[in-house]
Amino acid sequence: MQFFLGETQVGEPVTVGDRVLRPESRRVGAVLPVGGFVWQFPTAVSITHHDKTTRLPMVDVTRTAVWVIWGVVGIALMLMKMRKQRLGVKP
Amino acid sequence: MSKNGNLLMWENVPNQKRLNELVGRLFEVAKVTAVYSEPVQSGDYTVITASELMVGIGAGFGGGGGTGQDGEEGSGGGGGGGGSTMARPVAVIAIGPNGVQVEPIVDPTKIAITLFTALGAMGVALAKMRRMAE
Repeated sequence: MQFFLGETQVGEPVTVGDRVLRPESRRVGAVLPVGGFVWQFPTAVSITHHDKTTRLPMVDVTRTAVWVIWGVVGIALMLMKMRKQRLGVKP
Repeated sequence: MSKNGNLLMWENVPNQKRLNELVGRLFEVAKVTAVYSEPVQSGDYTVITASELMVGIGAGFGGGGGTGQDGEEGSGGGGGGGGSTMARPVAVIAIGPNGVQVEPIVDPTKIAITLFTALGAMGVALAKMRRMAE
């Protein structure tokens, strides 16, 4: 049994007209004695058209925005705490 | 630990093993077919939706035993568990006469909730820092 998992999966090709699409996704997960989780998200799609293959990445705009917000708030709090420590406690 | 307590703990071990097997099967649930939908035709366009999927499960067992003042032995145990599934659309793949386009799906509600939660957490942390400084 795997405890930690991180792998890229390629799905079955889908033919639409004269184009062949191959979806890609990434799977991340962990199995612990008290439980586990698995998270799978799309990463890109490869398109083959007239023997030419193009890879279109998939950007999760919502997740990126959420992480940016938490990152900015976290960094702002750290900077404020460092500034307070540098200035010292008020007499 | 008393003899009954030890026995209770050992009896829970097979359940722990079954839990591990169940959790291990989580990886079988998350496949590419769970993330990408079947193509849907609409006029000249074919649309495939791409979503993210998160599945989690947790459980716990416990047991104990002891001896009372009168020498009587007692034991007890319990367990509980829970699971959750979350899926969210991420993008749409549109195949049309002009080619293939990947259109991201933006969830403004989720972003707004995150923003207000983050600002609230920042406010609470700042208030706490101010109180500690005083």
